[in-house]
Amino acid sequence: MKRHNGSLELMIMLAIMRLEDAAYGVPISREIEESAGRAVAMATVYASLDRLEARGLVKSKLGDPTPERGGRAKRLFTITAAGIREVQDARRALTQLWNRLPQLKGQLS
Amino acid sequence: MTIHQPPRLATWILKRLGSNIIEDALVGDLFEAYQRRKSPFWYWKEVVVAIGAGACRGVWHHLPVALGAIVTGLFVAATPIWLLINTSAASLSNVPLPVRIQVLTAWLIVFGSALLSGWLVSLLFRAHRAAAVLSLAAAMVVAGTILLSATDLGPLALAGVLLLDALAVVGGGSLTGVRRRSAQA
Repeated sequence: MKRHNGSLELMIMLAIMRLEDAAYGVPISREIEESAGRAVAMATVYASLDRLEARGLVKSKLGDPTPERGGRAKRLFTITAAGIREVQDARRALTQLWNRLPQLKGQLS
Repeated sequence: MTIHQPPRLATWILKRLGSNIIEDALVGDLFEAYQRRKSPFWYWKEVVVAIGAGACRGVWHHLPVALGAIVTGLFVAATPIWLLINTSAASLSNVPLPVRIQVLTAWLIVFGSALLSGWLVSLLFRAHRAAAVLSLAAAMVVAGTILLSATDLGPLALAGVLLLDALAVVGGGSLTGVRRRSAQA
């Protein structure tokens, strides 16, 4: 049975797509904070990223260490083809559900 | 650019109670985010969430490890206390020592054995250290609540003893070396 993503996992995948080559923990967490208006613990973001990676929806590689990170490397994430399909499926499902609510019709931008 | 150092103790604990989701990249991300926020409270909160989340995942995926850690740890922690009460060492309590020394000795034995059990469990269950050590700390709190609720300790003193006991377990668990995760290319 196909597993559905939680809203946080969906937001993370969208953030990775938007950030392109600069998608790692700090900007992903900032994107979510700015878009959703709520702070998410970095460990929660990493736990979701680990789950997404285990399902083959995102992949990661290590970047170069930098001084502002205490000499530690970034773990850079990119979305896979399966991840893009998953995001599109989620959008389609949500739009259909949204459109079935007459009181919310026309509010989807 | 000035680099602001986040609380070293928090980073030290985070690296030592590492789990699968805690690795160099997360420590680096917290370090980088700290340069913007500069709030030690925020940093400690992130570290506690990281260790807690990692431990919960560890317990969920490796329940036998958590149970093994609890059994081993409670046995190690209880043995010195049992020996003290039931063997010839108990006769030491008849030695006319000042009360302060007697209390200090009892505290050293209780917290020393908690520290030892945390260290041993961390060593035995190194692959899932956070899950093992935090499961043991939680079990010690439960066992301590049951055992000490029959005494005339006040609620504040009871909470203090249990907190110190749990911290001794976590402290002991943090004493073993850092586990390195192989870097992903």
